[in-house]
Amino acid sequence: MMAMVRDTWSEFRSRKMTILFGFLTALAVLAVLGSLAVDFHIEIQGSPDMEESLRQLTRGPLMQAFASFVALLVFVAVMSTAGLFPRMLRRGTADYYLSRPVSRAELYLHKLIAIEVVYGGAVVVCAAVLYVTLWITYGLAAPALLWVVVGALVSLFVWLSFTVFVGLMSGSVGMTISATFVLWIAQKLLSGWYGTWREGLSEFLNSRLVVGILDTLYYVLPKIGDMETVFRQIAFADSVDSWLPVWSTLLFAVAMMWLTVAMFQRRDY
Amino acid sequence: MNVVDVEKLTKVYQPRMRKGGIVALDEVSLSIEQREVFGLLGPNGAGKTTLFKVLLSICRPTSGSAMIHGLPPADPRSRRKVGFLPENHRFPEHLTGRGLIALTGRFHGMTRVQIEERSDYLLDLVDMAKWGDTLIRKYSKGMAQRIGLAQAMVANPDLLLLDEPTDGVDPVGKVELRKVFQRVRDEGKTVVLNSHLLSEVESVADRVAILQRGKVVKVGSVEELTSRRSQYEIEAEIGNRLFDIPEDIGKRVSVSSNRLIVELNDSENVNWVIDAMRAKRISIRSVKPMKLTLEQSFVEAVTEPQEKGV
Repeated sequence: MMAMVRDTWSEFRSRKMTILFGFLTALAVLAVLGSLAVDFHIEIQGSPDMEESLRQLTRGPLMQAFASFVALLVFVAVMSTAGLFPRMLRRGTADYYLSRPVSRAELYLHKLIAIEVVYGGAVVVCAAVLYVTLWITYGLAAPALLWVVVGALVSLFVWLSFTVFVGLMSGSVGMTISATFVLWIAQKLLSGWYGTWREGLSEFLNSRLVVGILDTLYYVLPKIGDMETVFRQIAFADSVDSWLPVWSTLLFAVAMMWLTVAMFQRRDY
Repeated sequence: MNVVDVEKLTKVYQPRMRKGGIVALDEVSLSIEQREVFGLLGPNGAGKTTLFKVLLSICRPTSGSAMIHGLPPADPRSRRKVGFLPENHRFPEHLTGRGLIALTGRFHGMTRVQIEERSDYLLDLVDMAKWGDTLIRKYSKGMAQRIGLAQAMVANPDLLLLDEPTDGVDPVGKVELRKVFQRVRDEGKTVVLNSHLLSEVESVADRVAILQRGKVVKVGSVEELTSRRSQYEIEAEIGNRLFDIPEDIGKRVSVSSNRLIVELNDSENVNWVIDAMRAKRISIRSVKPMKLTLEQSFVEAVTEPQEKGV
């Protein structure tokens, strides 16, 4: 297990990922510091308690900005890890990894966990830097934002289960990135379909078959965006609309992992 | 117990979206004993690399069985004491030579101290101490080959599977690597050498198997494969004093004024030939059993079945 974590960490450094994550965090920190220079003029009428209300007024957008930054980090992590498994199993490299005294299931799980630890760790560190910056500059103390980070780690895990599966099946970095991008867009559109447009579009489409297909796709495919929304709702102390996106997405990840192990064990290299 | 036991091993690659298959191994049976350097020879596509891959569970056999240290390849424990240098390897390029050795050591459950000690020893052994901290992607072919050999030996394996180990290594390096193989053998380890360089195999291998189209066509010691027991070369002052050899004794293969090559039905018959020559007052300088080079033996082995087929 530690062998894979160290290997993935070496790969992370070698691919200059520290610079990429550091650069994004530096931009976010600069944006926060830059926002301090913006002069807000809000006239308060009423009691001195209004100052607390003003603090509450900035709290929401700051928390949203934090959540958006974490979502961006997850996107970067997913895209930059999409090629790791195909690269590991390319001709010449696969011989090295597969001849180690570990089973293929272990090799797969160890790599998956190692990516989660290293890239997820990078997301956590960058998020922590931004959180501390917001705390120092705006006095934003919101430990509940930890849920946003937990949500990010869970969604990174779900994405990894998918990208590793596609990487294993196709053996191509390009194909894996393309498939990830397609799924990213599909789950956003399906989320919109199920949450907002279903009523109106159903009448327009006038086809039970198409509606049925779209509904099935929504249930079968991961609902990572909606799942992140659930974690945001927890963080922002809002009521959770539905837990369906969380458990069904986790179920999808488990199915992907099972399928990957089954396929991996049957493959010749 | 044999280190490697292969029994009627068959591997058929099934190309995707196509009918039929490519037979890479066809009922191969082999046993490799402890403390021997075993050479696997064969033309390209003979199935040598596939045999390694099946032994290491990189690909699955279609039928038959293979065992390493009495365990099937599907059992990861069978690879604990095995070192492997793949052909056309592309080791993880984000690692340094030392990093690769360390990663391999960690996979084999070694501690940090053990890895550090072993790394220094192995980098010295393969003459890569100066380049241990350089990234693998900056290595030349020969350097990558040396570091590949070092990683194969990191866990102090009982069995070393080396696929074209001297590929890309300069002549001096090849001699050094041969010494390494011999040293490893002397330490009680088994080395299986897959190489198309026949002279290399001839110089280090105790036994050799020749594969052709997925089948073992010859197996034996280098001595057995290279000796041609029935042929003798006799150096003598023959001049024009020729003599006949009866059919029940053998036949003359070639003759010149100072050299005679005979093929005898029995090795004892060499005495009859000597007596006959002495009777003709031919002065004999030497009598030697004829030996083939491994290359000649190899060419014979891989061409005979084809010729028979024609």
